[in-house]
Amino acid sequence: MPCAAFEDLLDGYDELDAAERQRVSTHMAVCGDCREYLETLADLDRELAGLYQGLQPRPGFMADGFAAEVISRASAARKPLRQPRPPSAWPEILDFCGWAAIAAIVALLGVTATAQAGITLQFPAYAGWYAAAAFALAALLTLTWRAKSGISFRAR
Amino acid sequence: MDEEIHAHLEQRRWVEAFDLVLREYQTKVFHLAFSMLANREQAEDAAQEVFIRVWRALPGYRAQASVSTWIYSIARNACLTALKSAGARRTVSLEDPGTRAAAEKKGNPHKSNSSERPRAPDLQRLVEELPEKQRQVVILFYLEEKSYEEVSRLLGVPLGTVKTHLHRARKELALRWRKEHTDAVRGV
Repeated sequence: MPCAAFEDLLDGYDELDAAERQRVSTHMAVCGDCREYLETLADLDRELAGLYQGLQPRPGFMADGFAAEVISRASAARKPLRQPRPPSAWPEILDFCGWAAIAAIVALLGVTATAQAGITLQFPAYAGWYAAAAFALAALLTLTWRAKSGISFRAR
Repeated sequence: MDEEIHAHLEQRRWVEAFDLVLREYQTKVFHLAFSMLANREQAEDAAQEVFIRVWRALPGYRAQASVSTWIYSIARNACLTALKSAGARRTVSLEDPGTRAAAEKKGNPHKSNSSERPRAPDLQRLVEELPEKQRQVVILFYLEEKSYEEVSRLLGVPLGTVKTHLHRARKELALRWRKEHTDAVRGV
């Protein structure tokens, strides 16, 4: 074991200035442990440099085509950032409501026109409720059919 | 080089930027991977994975950190993933051609039976037995030609931490190496 007071100096011996080196040298002249420790550190440095310095990847690892290969591999393995969402029913519903509104306006205009022409239309009792029920049934059947068949009239 | 990379990125020239990144950082990334995985093949695989990640992430690079800091961070994460997923053993093959070639070039006593010092494989084993952080610092320190600053950048830790780890590692290695040498001489 080196002397505690000199351990740090011995460890950074290569970076010491002249005065510090002189101090260490003076000490080592009378301290075998510190001298041996410094010699061991020097040997260790040499051996470790021999083991690791200059270690490179194998030839071919850095071949010219490596960039292209990486790009190709990355592109092939690229996954979509998000899974596509299942189609929403709302566009269909809004579509249907839009068409229903158009149909209602046309019907209203038709009724108004006939009234203006002096033609009296006779509607049975509860005709409004029957029409609403038929409308709702038609809407339900249409939406169910679209959902099952996957057919959409909207451009996606 | 980083300025050139930045210029390409600003112009959204990803391929050109990636070519420069690859040229500039492949050896550094390999060294970092080797220090963490301590296995050449795994380090090469990990380095390739790093550059795949870098390529994917290039469009998202916002220059909040330097290119090197950004790449080393990706590299450390990729190596940690490799360590976890592969259950990589931190062993360096003694038959590893690169290590052996480097050792031979430097006059590794492993190839010289006349040496009285403990043989290099023993030292290699001692390095592998160090605590993880110390081992990484020691390997990187010598791979990066004894640059504290480069080790600090690669591992993303302060310079003082690097010096502390290295100091403890070298002391530990020196004492254990000396002890093994003494034991060998005595025939223990």
